[in-house]
Amino acid sequence: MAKKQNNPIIQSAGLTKIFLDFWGHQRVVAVDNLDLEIQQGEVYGLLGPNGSGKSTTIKMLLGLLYPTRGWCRVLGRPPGNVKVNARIGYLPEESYLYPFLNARETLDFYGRLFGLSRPQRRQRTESLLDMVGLASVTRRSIGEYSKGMIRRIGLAQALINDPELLILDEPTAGLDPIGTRQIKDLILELGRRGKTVLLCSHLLADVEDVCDRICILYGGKIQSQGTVQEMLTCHQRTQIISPTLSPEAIAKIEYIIRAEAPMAGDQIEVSTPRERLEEVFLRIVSEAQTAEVETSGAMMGSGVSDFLGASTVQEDDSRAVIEQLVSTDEDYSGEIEMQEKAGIEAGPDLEPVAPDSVRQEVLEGLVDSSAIEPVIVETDSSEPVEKSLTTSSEPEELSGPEDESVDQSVIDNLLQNRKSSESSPAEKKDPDN
Amino acid sequence: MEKIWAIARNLMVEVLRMRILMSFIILITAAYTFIFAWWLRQSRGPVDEKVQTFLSYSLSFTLGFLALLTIFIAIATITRDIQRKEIFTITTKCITRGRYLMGKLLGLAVLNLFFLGITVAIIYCLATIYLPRSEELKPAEHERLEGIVLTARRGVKPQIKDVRAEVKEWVDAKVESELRDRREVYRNNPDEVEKMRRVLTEEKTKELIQKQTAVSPGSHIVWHFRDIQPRDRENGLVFIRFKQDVDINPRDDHMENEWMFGPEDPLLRGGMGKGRTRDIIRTVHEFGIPARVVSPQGDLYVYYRNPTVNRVTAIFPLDTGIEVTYTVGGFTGNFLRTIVLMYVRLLFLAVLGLAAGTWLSFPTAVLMILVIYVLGLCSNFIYDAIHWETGEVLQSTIRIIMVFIPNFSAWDPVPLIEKGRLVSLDLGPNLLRALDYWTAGEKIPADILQKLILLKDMVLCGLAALIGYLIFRSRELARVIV
Repeated sequence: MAKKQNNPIIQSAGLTKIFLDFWGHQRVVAVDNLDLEIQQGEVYGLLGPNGSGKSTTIKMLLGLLYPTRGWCRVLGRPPGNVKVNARIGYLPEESYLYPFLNARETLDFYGRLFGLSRPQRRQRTESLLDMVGLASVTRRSIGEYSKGMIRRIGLAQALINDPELLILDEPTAGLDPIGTRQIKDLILELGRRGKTVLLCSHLLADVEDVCDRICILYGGKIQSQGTVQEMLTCHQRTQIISPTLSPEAIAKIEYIIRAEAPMAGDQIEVSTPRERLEEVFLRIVSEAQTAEVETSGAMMGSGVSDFLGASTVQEDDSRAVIEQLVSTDEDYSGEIEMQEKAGIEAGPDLEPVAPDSVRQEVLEGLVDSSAIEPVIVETDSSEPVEKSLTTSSEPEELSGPEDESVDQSVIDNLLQNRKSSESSPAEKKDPDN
Repeated sequence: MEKIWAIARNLMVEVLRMRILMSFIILITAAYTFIFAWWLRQSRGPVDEKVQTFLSYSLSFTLGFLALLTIFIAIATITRDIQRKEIFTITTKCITRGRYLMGKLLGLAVLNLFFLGITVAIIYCLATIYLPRSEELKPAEHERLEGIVLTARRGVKPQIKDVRAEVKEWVDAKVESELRDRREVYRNNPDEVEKMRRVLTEEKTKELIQKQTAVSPGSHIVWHFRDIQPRDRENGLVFIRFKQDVDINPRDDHMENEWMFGPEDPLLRGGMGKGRTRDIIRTVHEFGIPARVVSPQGDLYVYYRNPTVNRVTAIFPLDTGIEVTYTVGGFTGNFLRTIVLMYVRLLFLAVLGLAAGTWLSFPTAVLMILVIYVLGLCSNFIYDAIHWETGEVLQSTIRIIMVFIPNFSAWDPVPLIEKGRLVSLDLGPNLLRALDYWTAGEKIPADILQKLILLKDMVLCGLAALIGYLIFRSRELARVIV
């Protein structure tokens, strides 16, 4: 979904929080002169080491702490306003749920606090429990849950009101790789559905995978801020991914690269990539679930709950509308992106994939993609080269010198691969990249 | 209301799922009352005394136990939410902090109703069914049980003559005479004059009041009781309850007493009833007289003569000396009113506990509320005790402090129900009566003031709730002190 600019959901100016000691002396400057502006539909990441002021900032935005100086507004109003709270979902750093309630009672309790009707509460509770993979353990009290399971139910309570703004403080802390992956997928999906997400974490990979923009805090101050694309794109290097190549083909490519960048020296590296442990783990668990191995823990969730959509849409038919919105989005469709990632051909008349089947598709795709055995060719260009293989250059610019004896079909192959990867502008959000 | 109820319901679920606590409550309340009733049933003695003892101990114990439980739960429910940070996920939802507090109070109210309802139902059954059936009661015993314990009687004390004007006149004359005789001594010491005036006033007041309570051999006294409204004027009884003291102990500790009663002063119109009793001293005695001796306006005059045969002065102390009691209702209604007052006390403690929990840590808040509770229970004793051996500054300080302490003992229903007395504060009528006295420039009688203390305590409770709410509303819930 296109981000609506100039419609700030969160704004702060000169936001400062100084903690005092018992005698009222100022001791710790937790947040120092913070200026933030988060637009509607953005997934915004607050990054920083422990004690950098991330959680303090979030608590000020929620009215749990009051600024020492400066101001902040959330959804156009001061923090802590009940009408604002009705539109916010908040997952604190450690869930903080009542241990004597079970999962269903917990969601019902928070649903009541939002004034949801009984059918709404019931529907959303079931849907969310299914989504976070706790549908089979609803009778156990939360005190008996593992940390990861508590995190999952914590996430569910944050979503019970179908919030416009989701504030997640360390959402993946304590979660297993399945849960981590699921939360990242969920954040991506919510972002696509127009929700604004403020994510606070020190797990860099999580933030990198899901955020549109990030802000790095240190000592309570903003050290750097910008889009993930801007901050992470390495303009000095080029990476080519291809199916398995013969040593001859690799030699030819290397030859071309050396011709293009004579100063590259030993910075050119050709290797067979390893699978990420996360992918292997997910595949094994998926296989175990397919084999119906018994577990008393959390199950793999069923995708994003249907009700989490535009609040103006009637809940009963929200699913269809959301799917339509998602599938007709101008930018891209998450499902198409995932299928492409997995090497599945996406035809022009691809049907929208139901959200609850997305995860399975991804997993299957991951299994399939492992058979492709891509070769990564990575070069480092210390000096600017006019015809370097940058992501912004057009494929035609990449054609090597014709007088060299290079197998043109290899280059064509490479170019073909690049075209397909460029067709997904959401590359930065691809958790597998 | 849905949101307030959600918080209340959550608190109830939390408490009811504390298995050890629940087992403890059941053991303590149910087992205690059953075992105590069983033990009483086995023991010897009149059944009315057994029932009185049972009611007194079991209701006091239940009230005390539930009071402690309420204090602990009220404080813990707020402080634990803050300490374990569950409040982060609640106050960031669509609920105001005021509603959150109201939800907690509602939860406590329902819980108390539940616990109190169960325990008092057991006590009621044991007191009215189990204990009276323990043995075959003689009609007289049964009548005594029904007439003294399982009933609701109102008590009226005699009008005491206002001696203030007489005292003032006497003191003024005395002071003037002293000043005339010892002008030089008092000329430069106005404080000494004031002190002399105060001492004389106290002594004369005591003397004149004692005159109204002391009856020398061969003399008599007439007491006037007002506003007596017995339920059955034709066939019912009103009871004269008295306890005599003496200046010198008679040889056998007994006194001969002559009585006469009537709707008007028996000395002027002649009494409608006469009688002579022989009673042991310093013990409460009670006898019935026909209710028809009371005038339609509710006036009753009681004439007492101390026969010369006694040879000692009979003294009827102001508070316990003599009282007229009469039945105005049944035990069940009285018992229900007792429960209401017990419940009000528990609600008071719930409010105080919640208010303290909003700004204090658990141990500090518990300590503070327990101190307030104990002071409130002992407030009558403290008021009496500060007259003795304390300087004026200390007295004034204690009085100021006690203004801010709820006087639980002033509206404790247990001493009333165990004696079969009507448990009723009649706040509205008493307030009107107090206003009448006040507008007429008269001193408001102590018994009316005593019954209005609940109003003062309600104001205090409201004030505590307001302070707690204001602190909680503006409090930084995630605040850390470094």
